[in-house]
Amino acid sequence: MTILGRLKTISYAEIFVILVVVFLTVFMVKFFGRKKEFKTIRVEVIRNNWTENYDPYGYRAPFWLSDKVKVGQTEKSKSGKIIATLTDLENYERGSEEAELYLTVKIETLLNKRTGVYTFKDKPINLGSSIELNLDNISIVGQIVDNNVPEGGYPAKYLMVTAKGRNFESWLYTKVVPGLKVYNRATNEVVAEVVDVKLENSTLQQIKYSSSYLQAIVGKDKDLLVYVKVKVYQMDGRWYFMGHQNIKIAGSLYLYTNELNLYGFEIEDIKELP
Amino acid sequence: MDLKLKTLKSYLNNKKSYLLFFLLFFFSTLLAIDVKSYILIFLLFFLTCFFVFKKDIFESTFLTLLISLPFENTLREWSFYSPLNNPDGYSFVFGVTIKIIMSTTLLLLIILPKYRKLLNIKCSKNYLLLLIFFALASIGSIFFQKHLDFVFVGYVRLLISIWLFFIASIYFSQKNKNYIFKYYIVSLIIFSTFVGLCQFVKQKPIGKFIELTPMFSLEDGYSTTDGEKQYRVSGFISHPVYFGSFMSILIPIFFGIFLKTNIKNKSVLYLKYVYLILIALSVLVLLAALSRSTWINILIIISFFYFYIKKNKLVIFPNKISEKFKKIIFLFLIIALIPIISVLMIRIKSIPDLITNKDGSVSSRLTLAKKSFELMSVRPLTGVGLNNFTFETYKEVSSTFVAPPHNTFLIFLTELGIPATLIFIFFIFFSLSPKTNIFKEEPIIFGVWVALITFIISAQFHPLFNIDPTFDIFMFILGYFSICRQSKT
Repeated sequence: MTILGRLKTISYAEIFVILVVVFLTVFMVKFFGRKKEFKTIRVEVIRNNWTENYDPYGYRAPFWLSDKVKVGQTEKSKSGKIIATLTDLENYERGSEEAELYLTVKIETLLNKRTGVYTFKDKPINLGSSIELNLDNISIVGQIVDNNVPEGGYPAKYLMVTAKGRNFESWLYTKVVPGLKVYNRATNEVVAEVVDVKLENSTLQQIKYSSSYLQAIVGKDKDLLVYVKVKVYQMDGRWYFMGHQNIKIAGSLYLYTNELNLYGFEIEDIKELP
Repeated sequence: MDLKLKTLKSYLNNKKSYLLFFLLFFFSTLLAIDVKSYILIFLLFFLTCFFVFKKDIFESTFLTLLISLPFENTLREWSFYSPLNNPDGYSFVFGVTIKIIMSTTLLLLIILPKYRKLLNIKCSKNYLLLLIFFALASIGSIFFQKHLDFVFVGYVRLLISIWLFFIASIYFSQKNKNYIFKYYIVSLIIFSTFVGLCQFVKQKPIGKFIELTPMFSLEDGYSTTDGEKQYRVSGFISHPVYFGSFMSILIPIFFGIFLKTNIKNKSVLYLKYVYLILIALSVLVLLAALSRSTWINILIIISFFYFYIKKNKLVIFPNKISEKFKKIIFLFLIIALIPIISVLMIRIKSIPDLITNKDGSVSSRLTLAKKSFELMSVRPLTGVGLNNFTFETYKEVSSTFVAPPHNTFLIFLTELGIPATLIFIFFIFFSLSPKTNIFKEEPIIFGVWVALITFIISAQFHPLFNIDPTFDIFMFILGYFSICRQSKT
């Protein structure tokens, strides 16, 4: 019997049943369609209370955790399949026993075609969403600060920043010398280096009140001018240094070197380096 | 050309061609690399049944269902976590499988006038009990539960299992269909043993799509968690415990087929030796799953068949076969089992740990059983609802062992309630009450009976329901057994 002959043995009712089943199956698969996609996200490690030390900016990772996080670490699903890979890591000191960690992670997400929402471990991957990662048995809690990291990373460049610090203790001025470096602790990359240092008479005047007159004391305080070569990267049109420091004139600059921490510098000038 | 076509046609008309057909398709599942190729294999099977073997749509669908029974690979799946969205709790996966699609198709086909006559089977006591169980489970599931999405997927699973029982009874009530069952079991055990042996030799999964199901899909396979770390064979069932239960079902049926094989024909005699070697290898694979509960099954199988052969004075091999040949065969059997002995010795050493370890298998099971009885006393009539046990117990049981009770009947007691479970127990009891006169004539039916008993034993130690294909296989084979019993009495 030919193929056509066999097909003729199928009744209309049977064809209807087959079509119903095919339709239901296709409907289920398409309507509840999910597509696996790898996405690269940027995570700021924040919010988990490791040490119960309150910080108004949010909790940061202690060194005993941050120093263990390395590029290449992975998280596996219950099936043993890799669902997250750490592709880039920024690890900056913050002046105390804490680190500022920024992770670039490639994760396996499921796209719900109906809602357009990407999920990772059944949690949505939206900008600002919290995320929990378990990279080689290191538990990391963070916030997604970018859920669409460009391929190849963010554009980066070097700037020469001139910044002024006022009213430091006199012993500090001798410690701030050219050659001080700020590192990305994850890669040992130098992200900032003090190229030159100048000491100037302070432009601020201090008014001393005595019983009979007001006297301005000029030249008492010194301003410390530092020339720092910094590496910045661009995110959403803004240039950032060390994760969250936005480099702009009159903005603040904080430098955490291995030797000392420099706070409260005011940016006076920015020049782009070739 | 005409001669070749005639030869092919005569071969296809021969029932033995089904053995090769089933084997070919089981082995072709190893070629599946993703969902699409997996579906294609089953579609080809269906089309071959319809166009080549000239089966009608109903029978083609049934045979496709038969082939798809052991596989849990899905076209689409959903994860369920209890507590909700907590990946540290208990989770399971429910998905659209080929067997669900085929079962649904058969359910729709059976109501057509063309196939309605197949429903004319003698309705016995156990069928009524199963229907009452289904009714009670439905009432309890639909009207009295929370987390209805969890209950719904459990209910669908239950519905499919019950339908498998009936569809097996309906199909095998037709004349001259027993050979399908026989060749199905033979081909399945050959395939399962092959996959298991490959895994045992490699000491890891062989890396095929069918080895990874959404529920159990560790790419490196499963290892023992107590005692020295050892790899556990899991076949394509994907979990060693369920694979052990699965092989425990196949082996006694196959042994029954082995006993049934007529030894008068000399060529068939050598086939019996091949069967014996296959039994030895399948036992090796079963032992390599390192599931301690299956050791009880092996003892049951050996003792039941020993008494069966003794009582019925069966001759397995004629005396005229040379002693030298017999010795060679037994030597081979011993050599085949040697690789497993060292593995088993290590596993045996973990037995004291079962009792002494407070977070071990036994302690955890007892904790779950205790909680199961507590919950049962709270909701005795309707249970807490299918898949809801872990919601109720998440905070209270050991945080390292959030799971349903590791006893299938306790799952039913807690989640479906006492009345439904009692009815189910009666159903099992009446379905499995032995018929020694039938067993004497039909070793295969005796083998099926022993297989079903081994499932009941495995069910005492494992949650063989919601995420396990062997419950479906159990119900299917129970349906076959029920109709065989009826037709012989």
